[in-house]
Amino acid sequence: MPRSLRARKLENAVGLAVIVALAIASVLPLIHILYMVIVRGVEAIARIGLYRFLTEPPHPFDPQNPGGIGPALVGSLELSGLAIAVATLIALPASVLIAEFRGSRISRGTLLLALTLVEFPTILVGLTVYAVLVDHVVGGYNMLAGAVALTLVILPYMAVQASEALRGVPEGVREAAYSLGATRLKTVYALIAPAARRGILVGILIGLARAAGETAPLLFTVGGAYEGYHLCLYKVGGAVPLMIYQFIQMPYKPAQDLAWGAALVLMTIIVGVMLLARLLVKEVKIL
Amino acid sequence: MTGYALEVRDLRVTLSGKRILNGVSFRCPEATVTAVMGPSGTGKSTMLRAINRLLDLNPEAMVEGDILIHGRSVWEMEPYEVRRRATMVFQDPNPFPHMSIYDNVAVGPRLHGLARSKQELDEIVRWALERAMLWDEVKDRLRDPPSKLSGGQRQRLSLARALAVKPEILLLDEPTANVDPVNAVKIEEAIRSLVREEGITVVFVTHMPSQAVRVSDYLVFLYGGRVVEQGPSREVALNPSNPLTEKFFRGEL
Repeated sequence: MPRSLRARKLENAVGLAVIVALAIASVLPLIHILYMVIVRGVEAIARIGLYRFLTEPPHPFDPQNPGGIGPALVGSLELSGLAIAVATLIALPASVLIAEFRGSRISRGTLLLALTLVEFPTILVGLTVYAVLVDHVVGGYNMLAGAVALTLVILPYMAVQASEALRGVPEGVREAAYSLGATRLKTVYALIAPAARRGILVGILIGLARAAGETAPLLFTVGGAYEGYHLCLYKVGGAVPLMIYQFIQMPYKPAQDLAWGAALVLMTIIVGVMLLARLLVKEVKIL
Repeated sequence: MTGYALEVRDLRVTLSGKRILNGVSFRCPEATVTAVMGPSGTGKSTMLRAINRLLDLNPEAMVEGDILIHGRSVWEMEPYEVRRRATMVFQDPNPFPHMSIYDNVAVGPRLHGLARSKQELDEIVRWALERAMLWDEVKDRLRDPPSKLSGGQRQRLSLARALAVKPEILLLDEPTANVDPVNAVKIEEAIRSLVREEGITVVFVTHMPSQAVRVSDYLVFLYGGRVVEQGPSREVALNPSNPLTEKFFRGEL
């Protein structure tokens, strides 16, 4: 016998209420993070002014003039810029190998390796780079080691993402491209990759956001030096997430404020890059 | 030279361990239209993809037998050379979505270095679009993306793109199946004039008997991965010797 309409409506309302409550509960921590970072970050940045905060070196022990995050910001730009450039150069050919030469053993091997490395603990990447580049080759913390570690962290992710974008090109377009009679590599680079270019670009952007935000690969590679601008690849340097990690642990108010300000800057950069990526995804049109 | 643009000899194809074609042989004289007919799932599309070696890209496919283009075996050529000499138009219109109408047609000649100047390229594009009976409709908006065209126009754009690399053989996989009648007629006209005026040889998969008779000179009837009947189109259509062909033409297969 069918239940009454009223009973079913009531059940529906209760079910809906539960889902809404759970949804709110799951978003609450995120809202709290945003709130904390914005309130404390704005407070720290306002004390010295945005321009000075972004350009000056920090004075973590000076409550009168706490300074800013200039060197860390420049270090982050250097590290992520290098990482994204090298990772893109390697990830694109790798993604072509994964997506367009699927029959071969080397293609399957590359995919398996990339998928494994995507989930790899980033601290292990940092540790390995430390053992080779810091301990063995250079003999001290250096920016190059940080850039290499970041590259290794984002490379597999970008290769998988770009190969997904290539796979997303409709089979009809792919067949049409090949039936024009260009060689296989020419077909991929001139016809198939351009058709997937937005997806590939999204992968690069998300790789960039990750490179800017990762901390573990930098912990024992770049060291952490913030008093001046250190661009030399063979010397110790700094980065924003690493600075947050190091400064928040200092028992001084100005150092902790600097960390909160740096957190707000980092969050703004990453949210900005992610929004750009979302925008690109929205514009992807398939006939 | 054999006088045939295309010869298929004892073609056998296996896809993922399943036998699709089981010894198919036929010949297409130069500058003629051959219609390939048969019920769904007989391997018509697979056969076209075997002819221009698109199946090479599928690791699950195994192709045996010989295919000759103007007397030369496709196995002696590089796959991309085969695909250029025998280009293909597919059932679903598939212009490159990220390129303008002009670039869709120009990309083939560019890849093959067919034009030495911008002017020559313009001429090839115009020729191909005229041959595909699309020029008059798009000549004022060559920079538009193909998404602004109707489905039938997109299919003619796909045809123009295939023609622009100057193929000897055109492989058409049910090109009018997803197209309205007006566009279908235009595509049929385009095929006839290509054969008559440009000497291109066409292999044309269709499941419409009336269309096969209208457009083709020869007819190959496939059933269960084999050729059960072939010959001049009218003869086969009016007087089929195989009961399967007769049933198909009556719409009972």
